[in-house]
Amino acid sequence: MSVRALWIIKLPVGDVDGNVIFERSFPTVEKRARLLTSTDNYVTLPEENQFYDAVATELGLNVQSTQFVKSRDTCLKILTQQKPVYEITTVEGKLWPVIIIEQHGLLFCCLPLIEDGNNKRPPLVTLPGVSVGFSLLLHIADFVGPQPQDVDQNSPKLIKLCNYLCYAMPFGTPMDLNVSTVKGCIDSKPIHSVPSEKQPAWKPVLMKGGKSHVQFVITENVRAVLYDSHTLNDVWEVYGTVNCKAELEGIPDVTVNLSVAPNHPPLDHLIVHPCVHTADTDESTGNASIPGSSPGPRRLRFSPPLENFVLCHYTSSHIQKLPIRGCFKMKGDQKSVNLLVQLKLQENVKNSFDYCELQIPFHNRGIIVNIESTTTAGTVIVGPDKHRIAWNVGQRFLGRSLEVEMNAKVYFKEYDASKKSEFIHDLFCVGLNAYAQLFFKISDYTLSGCFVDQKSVQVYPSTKTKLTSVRELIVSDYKIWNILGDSKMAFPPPKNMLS
Amino acid sequence: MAAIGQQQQQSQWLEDVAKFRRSPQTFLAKSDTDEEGFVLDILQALFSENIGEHVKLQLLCILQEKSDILLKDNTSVEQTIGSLRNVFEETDHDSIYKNHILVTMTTILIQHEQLEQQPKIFIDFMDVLLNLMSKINNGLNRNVRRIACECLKEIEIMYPGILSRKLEHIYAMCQLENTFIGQSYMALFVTVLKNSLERLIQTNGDLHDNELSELLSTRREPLKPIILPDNFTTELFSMKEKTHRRVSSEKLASNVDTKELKRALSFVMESSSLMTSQCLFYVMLQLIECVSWVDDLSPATFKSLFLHCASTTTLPLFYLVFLLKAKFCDQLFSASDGDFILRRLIMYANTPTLQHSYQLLCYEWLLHFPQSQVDDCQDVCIPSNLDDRHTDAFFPTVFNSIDATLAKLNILSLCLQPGSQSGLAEATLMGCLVSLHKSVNYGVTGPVAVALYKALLNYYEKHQNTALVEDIYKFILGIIVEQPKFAAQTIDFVESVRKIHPESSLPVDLLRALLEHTVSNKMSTILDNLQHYLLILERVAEEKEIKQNVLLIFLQRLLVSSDLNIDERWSLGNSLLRICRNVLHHRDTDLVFTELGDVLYILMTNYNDIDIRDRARFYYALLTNLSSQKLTSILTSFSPVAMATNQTLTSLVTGSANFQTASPVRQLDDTILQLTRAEKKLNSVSVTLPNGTESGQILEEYLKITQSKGFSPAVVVTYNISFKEGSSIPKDDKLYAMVLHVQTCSNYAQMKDQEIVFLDNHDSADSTESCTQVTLEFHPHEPVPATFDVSVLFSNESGETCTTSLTPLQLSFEDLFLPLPDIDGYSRQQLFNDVWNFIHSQQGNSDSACAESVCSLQLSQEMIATTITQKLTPFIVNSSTQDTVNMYQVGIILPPSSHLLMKILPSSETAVISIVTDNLRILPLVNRYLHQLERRHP
Repeated sequence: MSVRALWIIKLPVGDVDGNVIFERSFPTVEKRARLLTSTDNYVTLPEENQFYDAVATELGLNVQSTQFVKSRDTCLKILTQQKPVYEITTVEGKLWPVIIIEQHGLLFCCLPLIEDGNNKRPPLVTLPGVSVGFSLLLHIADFVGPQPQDVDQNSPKLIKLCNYLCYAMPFGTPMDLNVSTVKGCIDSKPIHSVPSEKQPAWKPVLMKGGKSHVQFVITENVRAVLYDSHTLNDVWEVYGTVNCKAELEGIPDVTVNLSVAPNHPPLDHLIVHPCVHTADTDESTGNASIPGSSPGPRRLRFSPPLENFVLCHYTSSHIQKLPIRGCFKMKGDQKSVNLLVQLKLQENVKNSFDYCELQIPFHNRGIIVNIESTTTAGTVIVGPDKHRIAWNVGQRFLGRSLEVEMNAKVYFKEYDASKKSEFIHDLFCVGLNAYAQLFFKISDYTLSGCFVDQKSVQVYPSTKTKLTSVRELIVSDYKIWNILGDSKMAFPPPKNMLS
Repeated sequence: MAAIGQQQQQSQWLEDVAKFRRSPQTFLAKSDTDEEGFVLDILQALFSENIGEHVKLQLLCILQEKSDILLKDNTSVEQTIGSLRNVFEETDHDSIYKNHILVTMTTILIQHEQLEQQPKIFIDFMDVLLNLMSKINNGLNRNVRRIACECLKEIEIMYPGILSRKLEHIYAMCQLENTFIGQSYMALFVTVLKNSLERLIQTNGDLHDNELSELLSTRREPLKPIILPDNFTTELFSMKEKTHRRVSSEKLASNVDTKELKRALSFVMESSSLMTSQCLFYVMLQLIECVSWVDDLSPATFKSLFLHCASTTTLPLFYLVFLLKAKFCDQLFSASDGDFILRRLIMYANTPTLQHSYQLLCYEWLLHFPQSQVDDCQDVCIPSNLDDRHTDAFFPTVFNSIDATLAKLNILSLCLQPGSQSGLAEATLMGCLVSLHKSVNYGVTGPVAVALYKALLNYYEKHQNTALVEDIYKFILGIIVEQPKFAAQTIDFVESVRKIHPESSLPVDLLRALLEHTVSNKMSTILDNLQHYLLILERVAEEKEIKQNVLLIFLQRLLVSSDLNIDERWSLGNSLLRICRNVLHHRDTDLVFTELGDVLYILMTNYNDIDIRDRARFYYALLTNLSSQKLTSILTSFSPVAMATNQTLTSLVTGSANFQTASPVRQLDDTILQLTRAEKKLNSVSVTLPNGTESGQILEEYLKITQSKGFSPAVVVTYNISFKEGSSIPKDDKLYAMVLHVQTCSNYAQMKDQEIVFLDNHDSADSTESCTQVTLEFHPHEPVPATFDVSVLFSNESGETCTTSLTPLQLSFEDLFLPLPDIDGYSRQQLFNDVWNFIHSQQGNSDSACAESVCSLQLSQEMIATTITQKLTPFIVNSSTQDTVNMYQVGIILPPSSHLLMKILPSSETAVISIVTDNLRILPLVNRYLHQLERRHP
């Protein structure tokens, strides 16, 4: 489960070449690689520049993705492809399995040690190093975060990364990757008294004094694609995370119920933080079959670390109705289009928005020169890039019908495809192929009905604890396709196809 | 001011570190220092108080990572370790930097095999580590103790068993340590436990019943010091051994009592909640091994762990479930557990809040889902318990990324079996492509289109003998009809199918249909997408099985079409010619004679570009004058390999088509010959002064001659050429007509190839006096050491011409030494004195390359005398005795024309060497050479 080397690569931007901005190798692991690998299979680590060139070739970093480059794009690759694991061809031979993930315009790469070196290409599932390497990269990516474009070897964050790695994996075998605990350990002050009971490694610093406080934050996302058509069903997904920050003295246990409101379907399986000891992670139907009753709560018992952490991930796949239904009609030509958008808020959905805005981007057209619009609520403006209009619906859907409508006519300048612009044109959206995008956020509400039952929270050993619980519903992607044009879609699973 | 200087120093170091990492060799060459010097600089910086710890940490990392380059021998390792230990002791607070000194020392000691080379240093260091870690529950130096455990663990991993006799001590410390670093003790403990158990299993002979319990419960020796066993050999704690034995099939003898082991195991399991995910993963990896070796231990120990891990977000912990499944399978998991794991895996793959690559890994694992103990997950297959209930999860949705879509389609194509009467599976599989196909249909190039073709190839690979192939065929045709711009990708698809299934008829069928589509298309459509259609035709023309007449008639039509865009006539003409060439090459020309002739004729008479007309005429000539067979061989022989044969085009055209082409030169992969240095002849340099040179002008004349261009004395070296041991050439073979080529670099004049009539494997089997010899003359332009690549070309017994490379030749700095010349009527002593004085007088001049230098060597009088006799006798101009001390004057010419004069004055402890040279660029080389002499007398 060790790593032979890791690299961070800055991606090329425009005419500026990319390069390796961070490199770390581990000689003792390398020595094991040499000892454990048969001579035919062992490939030495390349120098920084060679590694960059090899990665650039494999990923085709220097050629636009719209061009077909055989070395990168040949369909033969499907037979060997194992993303996010790659084979990198260097002067010395083929390095495998190089794990590469991209985040914030940087590539994070590492090469785990294969301990059974006689088998050239064992399946990834037999390699402990791959899961460790992958999780290492996620932590490093998290640690580094977004960087300015001119980031280089001596950027402060990368110098700090060196400290972090020296603690987290001095010899190339990660022992603790959690950024907060590593920081806690490095900064920990010498103590003179010996703890009377064993202190866990994931809580190197204990809270002393101060008020006990446990906070839960449920962030629920909804994403949907609406066709408003007889032949195509609308699709949507509802999922979320529960974050927790527990400022508690000592190393207490916390128990909490994650419940859903009445008349809501139960959550699907949960995926929980490793600090959770027991949890009803599997889907249970509870007594949802009885109308008006709620499914049984999901009980979680855990020993929280001091930092903010994701207690669990959930999905809710049985939600019957979308929060907002929509219809989008657009017709016209390259010079101008007529639009009609209707939105209807579902009953039972909380009618109080932090914001609710509909945007219509116009791809493969010239900039907007004029717009004439009428709405039943809110205002319409042209976006700063002049390639989209935005309709601010307001904080509430008014009237008993809970419906709002926008009519507009938009005029465009002639389109010159060769002209460079910041706006990225989706080449699918030509002619009447178009969509509207809805953005909204509702505080203190979840579509799944999921909430933290404050009464159920128990802290052991018991202390007087302040509890807060916050929840919100946010759109991650909400598209409404023009019913008069073509739309992107997926093939729905046929009912009872296989029986 | 001081602060600014400090800042500058730090950023200079950071810059140097970055440069060194980019390329150590270039950095050292450019910064005019060598490895040793750089290490000294680093160590000095570590002692310095002006440099921040963050910079020092970077320097330590360089020492840790690049010690194989930086530390050349045991002495430098010893010195570096000594200095690092001092730095460690002088650093008083418990910091990352201080801890990393220990890590660096451990790495260097392991990397340079000091346990074998200098066991004392290694053992001393281990004692330091044991001493540090033994102070359990000390709250003042937790991080140092943690690192000491890590270092010991790394040593134990590299030398399995070295800490076996300390197992009980470590076990006890684990139980007592209460601070947050307890997990490091635990990790060390399980590492040593696992290695000890493994050694017990591997021990030949009977184990007594209490062997294991005693290891865990009795102290056999104190914690310190480390005592190497009397029978210590390098193999004793060697890692390599392990992989050769198939330990997994071996078990601990059943008579051995495992009570203590069980107790230790449950202790570790109980402590698992105290560990971080990564440490827990490491510990469990070791424990899983242990349990699999001992029949008395039940895998059920891991049941609660399994339930915990199967729901966790942390990837390595979730992965543990698969590891347990693969290792223990039915012993630990029921069928319903298997279903549970599978359900969880599918769910992970579909949870949007997890990272995208995380999901991709889950799909990858699903394809190698461990099913039974014997199964090594090698082949791709879907788990047997994956059924209809799960299939819905593999339908790509609008929310999936391209990679996730591909991964899902891959699994779906394994779940669905085409071939049923209803054709439902085919329809579903093709239907699922819609998410990718939509954009392609609108001509959107890029990743989506690439993915679509990949998915199609994957379908084909999985279901090549089913009705699905017909669907794929129609689908691809449909793409080209709608969007000819995907011609290149379609051709790539055709070639990929051909590559994986050469027998398949799909490529020909597809190309034939594409040809039909092209020739029957409206000319205006063709002209709009001409380059794409020509690409298709070019590929079609390669196929022997497709009749080309239609294609050629179409080309004629195209050529006479008035709408042909002549702006790009050269590239267009090239495309057309490539098609013609492919037809010429791959077809029997009798069948296409008229049509091809017509096309070429139109091109050579009417085409608007002279280059195209010329080449068309050439092809036309070939077509009308040569048989198909000859044509094919001519066009084939354009490949570079065939160009190397001496067959001329004329002989091809006039000779018989049955003429067998000579085989190309064969490149031998292994080196079969070697050059061994026999002797270096000390070539004397001769300088003849013009007649009547007056004594006052001798020096002037001498310098004039030696500085002239024509003056180029050679370094002559004779080599034995012999067969390398174990070479593949049979014993009685001879090699004929050998040509030895030495590749020189820019600092040396080119060398003539050496010719050897034949080489007998009998006489030249070893590098002895009976060997064939070659004498090489090196003419440097600049006196610098160099390495020369050598290759040899020869004919073997069967008449084949072969070529192979030899081990490169090295020419060191001292190889370039030549003695001062003898000049009539002018002794070498006089020459020495005159040149010395001349250089001395010139060295102040800014435009002269003359320089003086002094160097002192730590060599006693006797040592210097032996060294000089051994190394420099031919160059001694004068040795005089002054107060019982021998003084030497050494005069050397370095070709082409540099002088190196030295006066060596030994004293009891050191020797002082005054140096003058008229080429100051060689001073670093001289310096290195002299210090080498010193090192030979440690």
